[in-house]
Formats: sequence, C-alpha cells, structure tokens
Amino acid sequence: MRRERPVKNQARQSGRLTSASIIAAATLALVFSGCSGSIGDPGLPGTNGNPAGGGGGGGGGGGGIGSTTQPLCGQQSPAEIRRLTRAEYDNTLRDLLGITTNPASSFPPDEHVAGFEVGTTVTQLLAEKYVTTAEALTQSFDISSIVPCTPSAGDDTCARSFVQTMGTKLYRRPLEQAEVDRLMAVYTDGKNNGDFTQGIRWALQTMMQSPNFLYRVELGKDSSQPDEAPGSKRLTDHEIAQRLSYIIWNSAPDDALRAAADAGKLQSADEIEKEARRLLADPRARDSVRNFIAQWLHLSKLDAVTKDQSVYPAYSAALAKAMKEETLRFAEHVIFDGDGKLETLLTASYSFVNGDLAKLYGVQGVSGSELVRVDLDPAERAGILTHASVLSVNANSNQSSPVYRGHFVREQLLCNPPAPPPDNIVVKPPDLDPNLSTRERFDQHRTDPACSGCHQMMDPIGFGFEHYDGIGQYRTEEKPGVAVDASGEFFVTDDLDGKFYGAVEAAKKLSTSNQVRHCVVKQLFRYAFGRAETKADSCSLAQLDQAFADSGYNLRELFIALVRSEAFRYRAGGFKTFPGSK
Amino acid sequence: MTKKSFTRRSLLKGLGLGAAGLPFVPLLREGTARAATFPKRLVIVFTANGTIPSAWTPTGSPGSGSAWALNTILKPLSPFKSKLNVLEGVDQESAYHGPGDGHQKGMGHLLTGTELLAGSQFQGGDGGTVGWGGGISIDQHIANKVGASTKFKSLEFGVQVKSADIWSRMSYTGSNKPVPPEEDPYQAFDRLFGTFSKDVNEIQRLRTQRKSVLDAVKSEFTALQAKLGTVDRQKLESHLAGVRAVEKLLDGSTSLPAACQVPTLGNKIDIKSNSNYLTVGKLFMDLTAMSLACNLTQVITLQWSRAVSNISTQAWTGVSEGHHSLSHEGDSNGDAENKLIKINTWYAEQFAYLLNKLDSIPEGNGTVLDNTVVVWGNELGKGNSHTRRDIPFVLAGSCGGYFQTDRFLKYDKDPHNNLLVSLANAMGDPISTFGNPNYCTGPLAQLK
Repeated sequence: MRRERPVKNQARQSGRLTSASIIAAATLALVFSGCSGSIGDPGLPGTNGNPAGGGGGGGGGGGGIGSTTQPLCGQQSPAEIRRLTRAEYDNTLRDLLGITTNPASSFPPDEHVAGFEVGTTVTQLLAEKYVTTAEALTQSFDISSIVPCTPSAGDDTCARSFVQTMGTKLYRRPLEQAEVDRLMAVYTDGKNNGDFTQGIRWALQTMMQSPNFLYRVELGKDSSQPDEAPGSKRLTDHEIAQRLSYIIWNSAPDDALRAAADAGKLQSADEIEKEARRLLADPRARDSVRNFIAQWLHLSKLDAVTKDQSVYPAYSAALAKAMKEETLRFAEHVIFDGDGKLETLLTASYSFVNGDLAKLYGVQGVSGSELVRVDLDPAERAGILTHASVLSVNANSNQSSPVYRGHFVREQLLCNPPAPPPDNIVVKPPDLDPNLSTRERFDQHRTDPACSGCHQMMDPIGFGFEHYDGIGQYRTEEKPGVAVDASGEFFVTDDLDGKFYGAVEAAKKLSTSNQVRHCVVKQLFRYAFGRAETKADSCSLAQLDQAFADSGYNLRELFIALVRSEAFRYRAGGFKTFPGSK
Repeated sequence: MTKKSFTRRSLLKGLGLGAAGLPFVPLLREGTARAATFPKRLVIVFTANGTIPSAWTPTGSPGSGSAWALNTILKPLSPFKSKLNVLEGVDQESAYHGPGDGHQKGMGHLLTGTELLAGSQFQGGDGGTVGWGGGISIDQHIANKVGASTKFKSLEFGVQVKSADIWSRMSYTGSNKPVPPEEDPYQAFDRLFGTFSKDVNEIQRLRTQRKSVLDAVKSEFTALQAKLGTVDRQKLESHLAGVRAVEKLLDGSTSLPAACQVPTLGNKIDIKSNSNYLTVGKLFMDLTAMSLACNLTQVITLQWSRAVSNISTQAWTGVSEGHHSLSHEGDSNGDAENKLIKINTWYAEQFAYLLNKLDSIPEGNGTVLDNTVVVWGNELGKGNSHTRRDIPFVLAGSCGGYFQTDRFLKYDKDPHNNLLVSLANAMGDPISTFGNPNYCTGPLAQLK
C-alpha cells in the first residue's frame, strides 16, 4: 500500500498566487486578488493546497481514522438543520412506503451549496407542496399494505402499533410518548370523521408533514453529558444511522441499520464502517454515487444544453441523454466493479456507448440504444475529462470553448477556480476575427493584462482540449486547413505547473496530482455534509487525505474514510447562532 | 388559448357555499356599475444578460408623446407606447458594493437594492465566494403590505429557471431567504384554480382534515423548535409560516371580479424542453393575467430563465448561439450584436404579449393594465462589460393613475433603489427609502 504525505508547504505557497511567474505575467494586481476563489473560510489553511493537519493529524502512527488512541481534532464546524432533498424525499418514500412516483419532482429545486444540491429552505410554495403531496399520496395509498395488524373497526391498539412502527421509520428514531399521543389524536379525529382507514391516513399524513420527517434532525447526545472535546458533541446512534443512510443511499435507514442503532452499535468508527460496507454493497449506493458524480461533473446541465444543428447535426436530446448515462455508467463501473481508483476514473480508455455514441467516438460494431462496454482509442480518450458529456457541457453551441473547459478543470478538479473580474475594472471585451484559429482568437486573454491574470489559469488548460469539438468529437483540424494545436499548460497549481500536449496527457498528469486528490476529497466532503469546509474541518480533511492516500486513492474507500471521520461522527457542541444582528 | 367562464353555480360550489345558502348570498360579482376601486398590482418581469443600448434606447428626445419613439428592440411594444415609461440612465449602484461578481450582484440586488451576504455557498466575486441576497426584495415587501386580503400574498413564476442558486433568485422574503418561482404552469394552475372546481363537500372534508392534521403538524414544529438554536429555529419558523398560509387557501373570497375566468392550459407539454421555452412562458403569462383578474394576488414576478442565461432561442429567432455566450462578444462584432438585438427584440415581443393580455381585460373604465405597473428589468446593462449601470428598465401601466405614461425619461446615474421606492409608493406604501439607504435618495424623479 502506498503511503504518501500530502504536499504541504510548497503547495500552499504556489497555490496563493504569489509565485513570481504570475506576478511577471501581468501588471494588474487587482485582477490577481480577484483570482484566488475557493470555497470556505478565507485564509483557511489548505483551501488552495492541502490542509495543514491541525489537532491530532492523520499522518502519524496510531490506527488510522477513528482510532480511540487518537485525540479528537477539537471543535467541529457548526451546521444548520437540513431538509430532505428532492432525491432523499423520493427515495425515503420509495423505501419506506413503496411509493415510486417520484412526487418530489414537482418541488422547487434544492438550493446549491458549495456546488451541490442541499435542502436549506422551505418557502410557502414548498410548504404547500408538502401538504398537497402528503394529502394526495395518503389518499390513494393502500393502507392494508402498511398496517402491521388486522384492523377491525375501532381497533385503536392496531393504530397505536402502526403509529409507533411507521413513525420510527419515518422519523428515523424511536418516537417520544408525546409524539405517539399527538399522532393518535389525529388518528382518532380521522376515525371519528370517517373510519379506521381514514384515521390511519390522517396520522400518516401528519407524519409526512412533520419536521421530524422532513428534516434531518441532529441534536447530538443528551446535553447532560459533557462534550468529549470542547465544542464537539457525539451524535446519537440513530443520528449516525441517518447520516450513513442518507450519504450512502440518499435514503432512510433500513431495518438492519435501525436495529444496529437500537442496539447502540454505531458509536465506534469500526462499528460504523461495518454498516457502511454493508450499505455500499447494496444497489442503492450506486444511485447515490451516481448522484454525486452527476453533480460534481455538472452532468445535469446536459438536460438543457442545446447545440447549433447546422454545425452539429448529430446532436440530439437522445444523444445528450446517452452522453450523461455513459459517464455515470463508467464512474459506477470504476467505483463498484473496477479498482475504484481516481486514476482509473481520470485515465481509463474504456467506456460505455450505444449506437449514437459509437458513431461519435468512431467505434465500429455497436448499434441500438443500449450502452455496451467498448475500448476507445487510448491516444484519443482518457477518462471522464474526455467523455463527450463533459466536453459538450463545457463548450459553446457551435464550437469548443477553452475557457469553459479550463474553468471546469480548475473549479471541479483543482478546487481553485479563478474568480470573475472585480468591480473596479471596466471589462472591454476584445473584438474578434472569426477567421482566426481558436488559439489566436483568445490571444488577447494572454496579452491584455486586464484579462491575463485569470485567463492564464484557464485558457492554457482548455487549449489542451482542442482535439474535441463542441460535442466532444475527436478532430485533427479545427476547421479546414487549420490543424489542431493542443499544446496546453498548467499555471498556478500546487504540483502540476508546466506544459503538456493534449487532453490525454493532461488527464494523466491530473490523475496523480495531490491537488486533484485533495480536491476530490473536498468535493465528496461538500456533497456528504451539504456545506463548504471550514477551518474546523481541516483536521478531518487531513485525516481523509491520509486515508485516501493509504488506500491508493480508492474512491470506494474514501466513502469509508468519510464515515469514520470526526466530522461525520460529531457535531458542534452548540447551535449555530446569528452573528451580530443578521 | 380558450377560456371557460365560471358559471355562478360552479363558482359558489368552489367557494364552499352550498345551494341552501343561495338566497342569502349577495351577488358575488362586482358589477362594473358599482364604482368600485380596483386593486393596484405590481408585475415584475426579468430577462437576462443586459441589452444592446444603441438599439434599445428610444429615439427622439426625452419627453412625452411625439417627442420620442421606440427603437428597434422595443418596437414590439408600439401598441402600448401611450402606457409606457422607458428609463435610461438608472444604475444598480448598490450592485457595485459588497461580495459577488457582476451577474450575481446584478441578480441579487435587482429587487433588494442591498449587498449580498458573505458566505461560502457560491463561487465568484473578488472575495472568492458569496452567499444569498442580503435583504427583502421589493415584491415581497409590497406583498407584505397589500397581500393580506388576497388568497396569495404574491406569486412567483419562472420559465426554465432550473437550479436554485444566487444566479437564479431575485425574490427574497428577507436576508438569506430566497423565494423559488413555480416553474410548472400545470402545478401553478392547480394551486391557483384547483379549489374552484372542487365540490363543496370535498372542500368541507378537506377543511376538517387539514384542521386536525395541520394542528398536530404545528405542534411538532413547536416541540422541535424548542430544542434548536436560533438559526434552525428561524428556518423552521419560515416553514411554519408556509404551513399557516396553507390554512387560508381553502377560504373563499367574498367576491370575484367580473373578468375572472379560469384559463385552460391545454395538453401537457414537457416544461423542461428547450423547444417549449416560449410555450411555458406564454402559459405563465396567461396565468399572470388571470391571477390578477381573479384578484388572487396583487404581486407577481415572472422570471425568464436566469442571470447568465444561455438559453437558445434558435427556434424563434434563428440565432443558434446561447444567449450568454453571445453577450460576451466585443462591441464591433456586428454579427453578435445583430443576434443579441434579435434575442432582446424577441423578449420584447413576449413582454408585449403579457401587456396585451392585461390590456384586454376590462376593469372599470380602463383595463387591468391601467391598474398595474409592469416592470421589465435585467441583471445587467450590457452583457459584454457586465455593467450594472444603465439597466434597461421599462415600466408599463400607470398603476391606477399613479405614474404618468408615454414618456422616455433620462436619468443621470440615479440609483435603482429609487425606482424600488417609487414602486412601493405607487402600490400605496409611503416609504422614502428601500434596500441599503446609502444607495437611495428617495423616489425616482419624474415618474409621477
């Protein structure tokens, strides 16, 4: 097993845009100051490079993440209560009630936080939809399939048993007596206004509108117990179970996970890992990982990407759908059926194509709409960055786009996107001659100091992808008589600075970069916790970096490391309060 | 689009009034003879990526009547010229302050007039990241003032807005509280008009059920809130306010205006398909008109796509490039400029469609449009420079005679917060400042 210390000092230095080459490359310091965008606290160690592991640190001795011999990192980051996302709402109702109609597809979209969909707010519109959806679903529901006893008229014992079992499932914890009484009162009302079945419907409807169902509540262990470390509160077993299932399945705990929580068997990292491995082996884990990949790689944009039909007649909604599915299927295969490695995700030349995609990739002998595994030309394709999906999303409707592609690599793989120009400069875009080559047309980005500070971080990476047109087809000429020049260069990176030629070489370089590895860790962290990392997380992130390295950068194992981390097992001691008057 | 008139009977049923009640029910419809004062309304329409000022700014000289004429982009509004105010030189001054990049600030400031929150939710801006909008938006502020008597305080409609982020939200109930638009016209229809067609017994049954269920739900909220910190408590409080608002949805209004008709939306279409962008927009404009005519609300926002919209309008304009991509081209790229003029003219045609809808519903001696002010705004002045100066604002309707009309008004960097103040004033709220007072000097001059 490879052990590799994350790069520290050198990485941080070069990640800060203080490198002499960049200062020399431009004259407007203002632009540079606008070019260090990254999520999280300004000044957080490691936002541009790797975290300087504070506290217990993950590197030395002692049994890995979650080992009892390690001291706690310290204070955890305060988090806000989250409502179920649309996917979580639908999956939960599917798994607990057998409802497969995806009712949440009519809800407003989930808010984006740190690049991922998170349930943060409930407005009047959504509140109304929770009400009308619960009413409609319970009205049409076959009650006999979920009531655990044979009801006879007036069988309140049966109803009580239903409220308790279903409530425990939907609230993801045992119910308090007051809650049972409250739900029974609604049942009684329903029964008095109709019959037993109506009583059950009303009680179920109440549960489906309760904040205990709609939100992932995490109060932590009884407050009468002292915090284990200042500012750190251990989650209860049922809260751990809920985190596990919603991160790995995007759904509620199943019976076995609930039983583990009931038995108090979800406190140590090893106990949690055992359940996590069981969950990862379930098909539902594939859906969640696909969800992460789709959001990380912006694949849902394909639903809306349109192309100029006169330039790309092959492009259609069906092709876009196949592109998206190709990348999801490939990632799923690498992570669950293959070696799980980040390097494979970024460099493998095999993929999954249907007839339309085969034409796009120049693969012979595939027809029909089903995706089948094929080997692509390794001189032309290397992993997800060379998939038609990513290349089409990051392109214009009638041509490629080095800016979009470079920006995508910086934002999603390097976690260091350049920020847009600040307010105090007036941007006057250059006038372009359409007869020039792509590279020539973007020359002003290089020569004009007002542009170059940020565009040097993006365009030279994007130029390396010039072998792919606006829908990801491989080409040797960008237009008749103008040969593709795919020479590219990384600037302002922790460990990649230098020239390369073509996306295949770029992908190979990226696949072994510590900056990329650390960025992937951060992306999964953001996805799992629904927030940007903060200073308080740098210790957990350092542990994750180390565990990721120890596993040979295995993405499956990164999920395990994640659920062993302190950020997973603990919450902040207090509650988030408003700073000042805000 | 066809309409179905209410029968008096179905209307009564919809209001939960049974036949037995008939003799005692006063005539529900307000006759035009009954010198009624009509509600004032505010409609805000958003389109993205700035405009081409040389083709947008009216010709002639600032003034009224024959002094000015509509330029290329706004030509489709010609039938309504006598009811317009076209504003040149109003800046989003506030959007030059605080965190966020040009598009983010342009969108988040447009209706709030105040700084975005610092935060880590969204990439961009010279500080690296930014949060949601930092204050209540003018539509929500006005809705709080005038919305108590209508079924909905306000309505928010969106045409293929898609994801929820700082680029896609202009309406806020407060700092850090973005309001999502309804993007599905069929869902919106059910929400607005669904109870109209329900049987009286069904309404009564639902009312009994909701009373019991929602009371318990509210108790669950209160019990949980007691265990949480202030941020979470307030989050649940917003949700709870939504639950409480649901309770009044089954209440019948005491009277429905004469012009109120339930629109029919026709066969369901795929609301997310690019080829249906226009159709979805038209359905929402139809719903906007009828929501006002039926007095379901007095405040509506209609958002086409989002800031940085890269929607293709090829099916209608012949322009194949995405809107945002084009808007980055330099000034002397005549081809790009022509295409942007086409796109903006096309949006003006849609704005005209809405005005026509409102103007064809009679109300008193005038029309619904006359009792409304419809504002068309944008997050930027011009796409390629990302300037938030000289926002292309068009106002249509006098808001019940409050504004003069048929005018081309020229300003010298007046802050757009002043326009927001004027909108509130027109709607009957006598405020003198809105948003961050540093960027507000009172109502916008010349409008009254």
